[in-house]
Order: sequence, then C-alpha cells, then structure tokens
Amino acid sequence: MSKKNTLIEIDNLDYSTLFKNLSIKIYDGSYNLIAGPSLSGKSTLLKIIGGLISTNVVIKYSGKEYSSLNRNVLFDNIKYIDLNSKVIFYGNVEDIFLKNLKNKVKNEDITKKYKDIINICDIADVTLCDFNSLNKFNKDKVLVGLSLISDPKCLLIDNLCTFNTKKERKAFENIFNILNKEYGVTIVISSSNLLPITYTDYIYVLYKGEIVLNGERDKILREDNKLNKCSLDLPFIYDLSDKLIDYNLIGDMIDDIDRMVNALWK
Amino acid sequence: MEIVFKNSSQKFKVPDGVISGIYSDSNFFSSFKVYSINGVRVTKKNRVNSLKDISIIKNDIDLSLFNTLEEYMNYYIEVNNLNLKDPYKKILGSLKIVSLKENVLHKSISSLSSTERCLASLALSLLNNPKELIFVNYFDFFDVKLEKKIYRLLMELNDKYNIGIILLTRDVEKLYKYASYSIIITSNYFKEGDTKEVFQDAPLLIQNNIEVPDTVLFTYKAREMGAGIDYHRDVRDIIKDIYKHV
Repeated sequence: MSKKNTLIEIDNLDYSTLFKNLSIKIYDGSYNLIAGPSLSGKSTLLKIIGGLISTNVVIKYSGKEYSSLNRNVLFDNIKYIDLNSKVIFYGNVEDIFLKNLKNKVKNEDITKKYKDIINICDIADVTLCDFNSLNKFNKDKVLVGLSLISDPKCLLIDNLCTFNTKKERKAFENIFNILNKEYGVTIVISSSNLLPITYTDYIYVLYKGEIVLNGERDKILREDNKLNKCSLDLPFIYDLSDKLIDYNLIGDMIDDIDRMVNALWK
Repeated sequence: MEIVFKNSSQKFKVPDGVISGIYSDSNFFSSFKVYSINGVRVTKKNRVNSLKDISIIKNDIDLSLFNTLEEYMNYYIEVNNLNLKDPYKKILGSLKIVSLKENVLHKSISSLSSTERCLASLALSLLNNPKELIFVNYFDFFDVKLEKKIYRLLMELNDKYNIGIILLTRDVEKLYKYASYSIIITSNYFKEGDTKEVFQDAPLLIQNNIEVPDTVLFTYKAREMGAGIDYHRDVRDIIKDIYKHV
C-alpha cells in the first residue's frame, strides 16, 4: 500500500503515567487498528486524538496545528464512538435520527441522508423500534449511524470487540469497510486483541506507553514473537498462516479458512 | 455446586467440579431460572437463601451513585450484611486476587478503564465467599495474557476451593477454549456434553445458526477434503497434524 497524506499527527505526547514521548501518524483514507494489552491506554489515546481529553501536545490535522484550546472545532470531523457506552435515547430510532439530522443538515437533504445512513448501518428493520428496547448490536449500529450525520472525515471506534459475536463483529467491520472504501472515511479501531484486522491497512501496537510496532498489516502479522510480548495473539487463521509459511507449506498469508484448506489439500 | 436450570420446555444440569460453559442466543436469564441446587428444589420460600451463594459477574459494574470504587465496595458490604471483621483488609485481598492494585480504590469512577471495571466486578463478587460464580460475557475486555491469568485463577478457584464456575457467553471461541463441559441452547437447538464433542458437528451447528470455533471449522473442512487431521483446541497441535497429512 503506497503512503498517503497524513490526516492526524501527534508528536512526543506525554500524558499522566500512560504515555511518554508517544508519536503516531494516521494516514488519510486508511483503515487502522490500534492494538494493545489491557490498561495500555488505547481508549485514552483515541480520546486524545479525538480532542476529548486535553493535553499540552499539539495535534496536526490535515497539516494544520490544533492546541487543546481550539480542538473542539475538530469534533464534527473526528468522531469518537465508544461501543461500550451505556447510552439512553428516548424515542424510536427514526425520531432520534430525524431530530439530530434537523440540527445538521438542510431540510431538503434530510430524507436522502437518513436513508443512506440507515442502509450503510443496516438498521432499516429497527427504525420504528424504541431505542432502549434494542439489543446491544443494534444499539451500537445506531450509535455509529448517528456519528455519520456530520460527515466525519475520521471515525475513532473504541471497544469494537466487546460483547459481540463473530458474526456481529464482521458486520461492523463490513460497515467500516464500506465507509472507508466508498466514502473515504479514515477508520481507527482500538482493540485489546487482533481480531478486527480483516480490512486493516495499518496496525499500531501500543505497549508500555509507546507505539512499539507500526506498519502495514501483513508485515506486522509476521512479527508473532513481538506481538506475543505485547500480550497480543494472532487470530487462528493468521497464526496458522504464519507458522505454515515458516514450514514452507504455503507462500503467503491466507486469511480465509476455505482458501487455506484448498491451498493445503486441493 | 450442581445447578439445574429450567424453563417452560427444557431442563438441564450444570455439573459440579468442572468449568462449564453455556452458549445462548438470547438473554439466558430471561427464560431460564434456577430449578434446584445440589438436588434441593429452589422454591419461593427458600429462593433467597438458596441463591445467596451464587454470584453473577458481568463485565461492568454500575457505579453511577458513587465517587470511587472504595465507596461502592463498602456499600456492597453493608447492603449484603457481610459482617466482615476487617472490611478494608478483605477488599484489598479481593483486589489482589484479581491483580488490581490498592490505588484503584481511590480513583474516580470516570477514570477507571473498562478492564479495571471488569476486574473490580470479579473482586466484588469474591467478597461474600461464593460457592458458584456465573460469568456473563466476561472475557471481552481482556488481552490474551490477562485472559489466561484470569482463567488460571478460575481453575484454581474450581480445583482448590471447590467454587463452581459457569461461563455464560456468546463467544464460541472462548467457550471452546476454556470450558470442559458445554451447553448450547438456542430457540431451535439444544446440546450438552464434553466441549469438544458438542462443537464437533460443524454442519449441524451452522444449519442452526450457531457459530463454529475457527479451529473446528478448519478441521471439518480439511477432513472433507480427505485430510486425516483430528480436532484440537491448540493451533500448535493442528500444525503438527497438518505436517503429517500434507
């Protein structure tokens, strides 16, 4: 993958006891995973990137510098979503969307925007349901949908892997992939494991206050020993791929079970 | 503890002495209730007393009324009439078991991380010396090292202190990895038994919309191609098998 323009850049971040001289660059239009062990500060880092936590470091956004004083101007451009938050909205999903859309979008564009978001997030069959009656999966999809109202350039998604089944996690990954590939939204996901890497371009590994590994996905996935030291295990199919490459039984990373079986036994 | 759960159409027993897992596609407790404990029926009269030795641990604690975790733990001790000689010492002991340091007690609620809240939930449940721990979607926040550490703790609680462990989860990978005995309950499917056997029939599970652990799915598909590999939980064992059969 060729290098793109830098969307977000932070240099030499010191924060509390969590980060010391941490630097990170997020490329425009990329799909990223920030992975790290529990208590490594992933959520805090996302919140700092999103301007929700003040620090004394300057954040560069599209080349322009923002100090903590004027970082709130970024709120529409960079949206932070916590998929573990306990949000309560009153009313049905459609009402909630329309109320929020009225504040941000011209009247004549509301219907189209609403339909687009509902389709992307695949929540058409729950629009008439009371938000608080939805299961967690649908609630989370609504939260993602609401974040899209202001056409953000970047989504920061915290706690993707919590409470979701494999199927639900894949559904979210598909939504973010659509936003990334078709709408050019930069995606940054945080996780304490390496499960959400299907569409990832770049992986950043956060460990003991710094980014210890960063680079293109397949390159990072070959660093099994270093990842293990950071309490990160490769997902089964990537772990299998990595080891089978070492044994010369396959040539490249294979991330699909059917293709792996065919490569070995067809 | 041997616990029997029951709803209007089904009854099943969670055996004593092993770490058991329950996979359910909906809110388990909204349809199933505890029917008996160690052979003794749970009735309206004895329900409160029967269930006092069971702790349900979720992946978060609701701390909205409190400023710090210490406040909440003291409240928990009071409300449950735990009558502890030295509550602070007991709290510290509980935190130590789950690898939380003392300073977490004094942090403001909003600054606790998801992992800290999850671990605090377990620490809390240990305060009343339960005989059975039921974990509900518990391992989601942990990295693999912490997950294994917590699992070893559960094994110790189960082996050494005879505390029953039930993992209620929608994550089949965790169930396959950690539970010796598994129960799968959905609206149209029920199976219980040794975990490896319960998950071995991949086509039937898929037919019933139940997720299959990746190791099982891979092995099933490989066997369909004629590879003589066996079902394993660990990827290293699978690789040894692949090497013999490629």
